[in-house]
Amino acid sequence: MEKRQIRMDDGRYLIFYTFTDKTSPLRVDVEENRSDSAERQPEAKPEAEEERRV
Amino acid sequence: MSELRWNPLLGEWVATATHRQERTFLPPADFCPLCPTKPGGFPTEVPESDYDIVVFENRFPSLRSAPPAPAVEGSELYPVRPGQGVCEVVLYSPNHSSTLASEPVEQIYKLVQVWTDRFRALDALSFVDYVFIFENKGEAIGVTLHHPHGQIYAYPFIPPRVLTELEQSIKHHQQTGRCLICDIVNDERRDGRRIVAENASFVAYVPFFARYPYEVHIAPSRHLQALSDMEDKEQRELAAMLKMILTAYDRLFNLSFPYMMVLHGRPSDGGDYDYYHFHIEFYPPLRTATKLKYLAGSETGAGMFINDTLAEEKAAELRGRVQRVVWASEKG
Repeated sequence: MEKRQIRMDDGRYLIFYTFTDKTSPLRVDVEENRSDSAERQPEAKPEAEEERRV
Repeated sequence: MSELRWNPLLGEWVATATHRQERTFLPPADFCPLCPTKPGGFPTEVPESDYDIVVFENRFPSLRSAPPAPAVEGSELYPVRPGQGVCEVVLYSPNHSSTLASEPVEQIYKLVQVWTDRFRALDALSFVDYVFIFENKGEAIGVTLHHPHGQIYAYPFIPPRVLTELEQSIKHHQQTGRCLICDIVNDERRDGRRIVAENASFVAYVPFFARYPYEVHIAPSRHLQALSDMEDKEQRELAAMLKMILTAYDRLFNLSFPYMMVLHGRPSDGGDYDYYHFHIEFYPPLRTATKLKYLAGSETGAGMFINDTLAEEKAAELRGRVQRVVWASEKG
């Protein structure tokens, strides 16, 4: 990430950010959410929690 | 004229900034002051076009680093103080017709890095107690300029809504020894019905207590207090999570979805906030494709929100529109 700051005529600062560094892979994969699921259900409660409710 | 006036009834500061009445209001695209200046064209705020992201001081700020003296005299009942702080504009892209949702995740990752850089810079200012990063998107929210941008306010105090979250968080920590948002995230994961999306470092959910129909919160799985606590991997996964949520919003009604996006992190006053947990909140004003959720009498006058929908159903709607975004190196 590189920054370059300038001053505008009225004294305000303006910073240009540019990114030239090539870090690890920038490729991304986009996948349709297949588990859509309007039907996502609660996970099973851990036993310890059930015990606390007794 | 600008200053901070104390509201003794609510115990909070109000900024008066009368010069903001003159700010540019919905100009035609050819006269956008946030587009890069074109050769031979009128001078905009941005004299060059060769950048990824630009940050500059707002031309119509409600807070300034060197504010004028208050225009009115304060009293014991009505204290007044200069409107000291910083108001910045963050341009997401030189492209006028883009939105954060339509930007590639690589650009959103750059934005997360810029947010972090600005947080660090403003966090270090002695007169700043809170750095607030946010975006108002869409005319339904009241934006005056369509060019894709967000804002950063650096306040000389901790704003009331954040203060309430801090108070609730410390109370919960004192009572249970645990972080409130860690508990909320664990509960949402256990229940599952309100989860919208998850990746290795973040979870997005419609909170149990949602005030807006499509309100979404994004929280890091790791207990951290600020953007500056994130590792590179977390910054990337935050970008991926933002991309997933923003895209799901746009796919909901096949329109560019309006929202307020706010980042809540620890204050900058040097205090100890280990008990607090950074997170992002989205407040979209739409309750259907054509109907707005208005903040009317109960919400504005009493502070009690009435949500006409069930968080569990709205989360399912959003979840069904999520397209998973995964950094290639992280695919299992």
